[in-house]
Amino acid sequence: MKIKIIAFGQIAEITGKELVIEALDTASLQQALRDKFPALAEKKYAIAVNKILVTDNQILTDNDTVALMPPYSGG
Amino acid sequence: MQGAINPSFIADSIAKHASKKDIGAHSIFLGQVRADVIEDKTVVAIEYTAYENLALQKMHELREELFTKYDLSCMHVHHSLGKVKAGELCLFVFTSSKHRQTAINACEEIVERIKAELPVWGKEIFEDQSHQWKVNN
Repeated sequence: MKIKIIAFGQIAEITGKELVIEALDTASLQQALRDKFPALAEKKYAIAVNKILVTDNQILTDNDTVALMPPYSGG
Repeated sequence: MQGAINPSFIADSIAKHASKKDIGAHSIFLGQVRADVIEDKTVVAIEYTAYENLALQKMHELREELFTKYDLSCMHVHHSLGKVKAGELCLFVFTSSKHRQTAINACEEIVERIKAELPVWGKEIFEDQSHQWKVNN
């Protein structure tokens, strides 16, 4: 599956703001990201699939958008 | 909104409520960019970015929830995006109700929840143009 990734804040400095990664689920996607960007290993970030936060592994389908979001710091 | 929040915009917002005569109390929170000094470097601005679609969706949910919980007449929230210089305003929260305690409590809750739940990120920019990512407490 080709998954569109969008990244924010500190994470975007490592990965760029947008990229496409082949992955079947969120766990393999995170592994692929760590392989491609070793600096991610020590960073904290949450994952949203199509704007919904996920914590457990989730199956991905073509054209899903996965957001990588470091801890919020608005306001 | 893009850039800093202009104080005259806030004054206009207050004035617009003169026609709503069931309101007895307004509560306003204004967030201002602080010139923190970190390891001898001074913050000159914060540059805000957001996952805008999700932030708007989340704000809509928070709004529904607060209106259910509190007896509010109205609620307005404006958060800056892009660069806001130290001393300028970056967050404007405005709640109105019949009575003060409702307006004050709702204002406090929405500010706390904006900080904790909205996908917005602040990059603190120093005078030498280096930066660090803001962390909310």
